[in-house]
Amino acid sequence: MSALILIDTLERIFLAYIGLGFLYAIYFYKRRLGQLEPASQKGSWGFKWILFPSVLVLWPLIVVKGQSPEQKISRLKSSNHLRQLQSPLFAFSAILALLALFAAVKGRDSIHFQLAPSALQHN
Amino acid sequence: MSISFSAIGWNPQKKIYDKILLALLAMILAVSGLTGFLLHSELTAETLLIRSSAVAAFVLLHCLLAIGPLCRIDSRFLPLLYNRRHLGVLIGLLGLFHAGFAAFQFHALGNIPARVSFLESYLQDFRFVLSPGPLGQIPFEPFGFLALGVLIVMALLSHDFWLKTLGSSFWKRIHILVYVAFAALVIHVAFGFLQTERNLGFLVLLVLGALSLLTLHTIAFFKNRRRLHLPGEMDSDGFYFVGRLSEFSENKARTVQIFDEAIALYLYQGKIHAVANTCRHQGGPLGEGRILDGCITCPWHGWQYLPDTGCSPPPFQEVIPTFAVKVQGEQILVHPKPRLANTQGQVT
Repeated sequence: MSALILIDTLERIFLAYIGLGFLYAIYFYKRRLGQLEPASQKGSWGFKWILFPSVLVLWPLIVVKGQSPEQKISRLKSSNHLRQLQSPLFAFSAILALLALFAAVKGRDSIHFQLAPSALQHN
Repeated sequence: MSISFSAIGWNPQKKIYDKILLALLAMILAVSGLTGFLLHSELTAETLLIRSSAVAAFVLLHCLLAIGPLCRIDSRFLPLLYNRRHLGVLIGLLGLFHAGFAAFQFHALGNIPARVSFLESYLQDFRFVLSPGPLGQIPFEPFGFLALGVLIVMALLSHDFWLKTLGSSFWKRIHILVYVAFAALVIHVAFGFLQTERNLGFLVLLVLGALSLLTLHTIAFFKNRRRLHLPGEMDSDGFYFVGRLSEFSENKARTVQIFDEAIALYLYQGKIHAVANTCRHQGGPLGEGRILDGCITCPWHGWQYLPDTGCSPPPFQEVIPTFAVKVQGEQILVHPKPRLANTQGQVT
């Protein structure tokens, strides 16, 4: 029963989030798009529609991080540092992944299968 | 550096690239499906499709992650980097298909409502966190979700509009999360597929894939470090010695790191010009580019800047900092304080 309440709550949160995304999308196309990038007003309908899923899903990010031209500041040094960090960061991720892979192979014998509840019903 | 936006930035080269990409995808799907069928003829077509889409996304992710270091090792790979974004979006779509179809297949076809079945199984994953069991029982789905989330966010923000709006530095930070997605996917495969699939070949391929990328990134890292020169002594005006004129080649750059400023010094028409080594677009290394049509051209996506002012040629409006240069006989000196040109191209 509590699982059903949790599902309902999660669904409502999700719908509210997407609903707010819709409302923000209306504002975005009416005003914010032109403010963020004046050149976008010359953009095609295809261009405007391709932005829609991003606005719908990532609207909080756009609200917080979207910058109009006059707000944009130089972050070249940060980009440069980031470029130099790419390989060490990848090495860290890959080594972590390989260690996990080693652990997964070591733990293979302890496996117990668990079918999804719907699959159990199906059978 | 376009001044207007279109839905998808296709040009003749990108169209050829996309056709090759789709052919590669078809080939991976066919080989993977056939291998799965030959090894396990009992598998259903749906399971083969779920596995093949995952294999395709995973193999293409390896290709995507190899492009960056390959370009740093050998500039002949640069056209791949220019076209890399469509590959990333395709991987995101394949991941979405894999996850969506697997969720439908395992949760929507039983007597329990799909949403209940879905949540019940994932609650089991969280139970593992509260009371850990044997290693082999570590849930693999959350790692797949993490990777999918990263890939989808990257695909959603892949358009140049978002790059410009969110700022290249922040955009790049988000895209570097692809490394997290890679690690999460290896773990997803290790604790999922590899727990039941005991064929040694799959394990060997997985390890070889990760090791190959690790090797490429290591080589690229050291090659990059060799490319970056350190300055010599400072003179009384705050200028640093950065090399001799004979060490420069026309239309090419030498890169110097003075404190936290990375500077690209270009020899153009017999004169040395110093600009920031970072492109406004995606932070590409301008010092690894060359001068084309009188403009410093970024090796990554071809954005251009005039060597003397750092301004993009009209009608574009991007500007990168420049640095004061002093020539004393054969010696080249540069001041590490950046200068930014105004909209009229006058350096202040």
